[in-house]
Amino acid sequence: MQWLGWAVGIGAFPGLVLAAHRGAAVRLRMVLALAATAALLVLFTGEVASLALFAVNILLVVGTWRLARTRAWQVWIGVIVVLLIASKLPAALAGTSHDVSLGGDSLALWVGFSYLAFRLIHVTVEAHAGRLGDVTFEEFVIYALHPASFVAGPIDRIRTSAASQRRAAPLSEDVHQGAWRILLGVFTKFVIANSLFAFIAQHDMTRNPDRPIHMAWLWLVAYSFYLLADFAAYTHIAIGFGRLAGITLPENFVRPYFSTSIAQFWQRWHITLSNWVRDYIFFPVARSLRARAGNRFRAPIQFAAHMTTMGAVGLWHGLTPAFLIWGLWHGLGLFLHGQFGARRPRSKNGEGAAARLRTAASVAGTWLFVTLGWVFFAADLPTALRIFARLFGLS
Amino acid sequence: MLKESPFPRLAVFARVLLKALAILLVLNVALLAAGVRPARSLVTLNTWDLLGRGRARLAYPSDFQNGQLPLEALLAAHEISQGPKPPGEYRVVLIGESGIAGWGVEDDDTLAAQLTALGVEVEGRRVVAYNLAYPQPGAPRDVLILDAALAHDPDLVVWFMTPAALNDSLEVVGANRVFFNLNRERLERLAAAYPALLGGWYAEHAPALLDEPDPLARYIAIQEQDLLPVWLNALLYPFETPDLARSDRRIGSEPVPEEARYTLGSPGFEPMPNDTWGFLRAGCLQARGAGADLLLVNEPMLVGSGPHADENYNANYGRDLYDRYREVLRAYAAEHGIWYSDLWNIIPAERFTDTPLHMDAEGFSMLADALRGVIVEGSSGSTCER
Repeated sequence: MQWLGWAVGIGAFPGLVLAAHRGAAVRLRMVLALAATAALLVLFTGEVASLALFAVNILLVVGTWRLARTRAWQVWIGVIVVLLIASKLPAALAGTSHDVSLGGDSLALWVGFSYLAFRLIHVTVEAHAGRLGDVTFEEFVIYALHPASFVAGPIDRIRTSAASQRRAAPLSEDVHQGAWRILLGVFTKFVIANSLFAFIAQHDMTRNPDRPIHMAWLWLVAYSFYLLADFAAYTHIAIGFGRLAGITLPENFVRPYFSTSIAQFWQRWHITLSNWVRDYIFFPVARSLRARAGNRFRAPIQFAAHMTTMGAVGLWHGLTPAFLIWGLWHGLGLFLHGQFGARRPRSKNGEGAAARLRTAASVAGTWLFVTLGWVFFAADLPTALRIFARLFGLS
Repeated sequence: MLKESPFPRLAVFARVLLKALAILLVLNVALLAAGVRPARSLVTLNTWDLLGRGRARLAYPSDFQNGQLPLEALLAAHEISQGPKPPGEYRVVLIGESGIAGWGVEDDDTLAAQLTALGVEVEGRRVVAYNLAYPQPGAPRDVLILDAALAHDPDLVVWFMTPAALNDSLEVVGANRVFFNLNRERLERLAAAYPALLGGWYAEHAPALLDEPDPLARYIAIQEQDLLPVWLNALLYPFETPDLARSDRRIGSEPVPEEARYTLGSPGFEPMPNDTWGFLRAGCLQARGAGADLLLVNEPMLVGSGPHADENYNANYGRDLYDRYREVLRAYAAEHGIWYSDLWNIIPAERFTDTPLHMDAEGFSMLADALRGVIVEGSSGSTCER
């Protein structure tokens, strides 16, 4: 009766989301949003047990609301960080951290916690700093646990979310734009991403890193565009469902492979995550180091802040050496760009053919840097190193 | 990324969607009336024709559980489909698992290529062998391939057998689960054609192997879109270097393990013969019904030596199981009039590569020689009698 499950899911889930549209009272919207998220989790994991972990999420949300304004706020952030690490430990110990498929083991049942943890830390910090304004508990719950963004982001900001929840846009406009984004997401996922996945699965370098060099490069290019298509598709769908519920979620991808530098790439790729880590890791680390060392050690401070931030981003994806290396790869790129690329004087003749050529070269160079980094995203460290060697004809 | 809908108003957007749905509905009804399933038809197109030749082997991607196409598509891209059978050709089709497919060797070194290269003549016609073996053991899967191959007018089907191919545990049979689902109509037709031979197996295995049929599926012509990405990828096959899964390993120089993978107590072998053995007779009858002869061959394997060789032949098989299998297979073939040849130990240990069934080019050369002898000199033909 799989079709029946899907029919119920496909029918009930948007129904619940739509019912939670801003036309309803905020408390009712909160209850409907929680019900829709619960339904989504059961659909996603196929396990009713996932509801137990969803209940833990609700407790954490309530705990955040209660403790964020108290003196225990730092301890509470510590608890969330420990839980975040704990949620990723089983996969790391089992060696399955690079298996991104959902469902199947108990760990996967805690779907979405990575994103929730970041939202809870954000709200704790903002509440402690007195920047929550008049955000209500119901708006906070909808922000933290809304089905549209629960599984794969984006990581909205609480005040933006609350403002969006109160916004008065016509229902027809939200349905129109929401349905359009869902269609766009479905097309991107099932036509583009799945076709690319069929290619990378059948020429999978992670299973056999000794394929010919041209196949290694083809696989890597396909993998690079697959990651973008897959994640962008989920974001389209999330934003679409958000609109159906009357919430405008932030954009997460803005043509990232057309970036002219690695810094610009991170302003266009998983934007909400990079904004989060910039505000809550990069700036605090840089400020803290600068406070101790002063401005004399500008470059080492930048280096440490970039590496810490991007190392954390890597480990956020999974507690494996390969994810860490992927993060550090980007940290190094951002540091080098900050030291050399960003200081280069701009050409006065920005419209000429030479300038266009420079832009094209920058786009190509940035894309190549990012794409080579995906090798560490795709495979465990020994396999990734073998693939790297293969790409450059060293094995 | 596009953010806003290019359709200015909801009404326009809704009209476009409704028109698209209407076109889809009309197209679906038309295709149903014409009996066409577009995805199934489309995947039989391939790019090998551009090169003027077909594949020497069936396509089996490394991720062969998720990257498979229906048999019609696999055969359409195979060299056996390149035009009608020439008058002077004695067409031999080879069926079996990865060992016969030629895991790890070039197309020119497989058994099929080397048998063809011998230039043998049977009934005044030149033997041309086609490699239709496929990874993973499974007599039921083999019969589906055999059935599809009969459309290409073979004179002889040579079917290589191993104990694992006759194992009826769900663990072993289930390894071909995707294959069965892709070719379920063929499986259902064969099960219906041979109820006495296959009915027991089908009743026991089909519920676990085949996906539950969707009650709406018969009203939907535009389905199985999952095949399209696999097919798109398959279009690239002629233009890339195949992954031959080469291995430097020489398993014959390694000691025989203390414990073999399959022994007499392993699940799926008892009773011997079990329900899966019915496929041997069904395959034989199917071939004879299409005018082709069938030769059943007990596939060569590594016979290891050393400390544990008195208990196990190799990492796959314990002696107790294998000796019993050979004895029962010979008796079964004799009882049912199946032309049978037991070549189990004709290949020396040094000719095996990474598994007890995978041979190198020299091993295939020896097997081709032995097979020539069987085909040319010992032809008795199958009657497939009771």
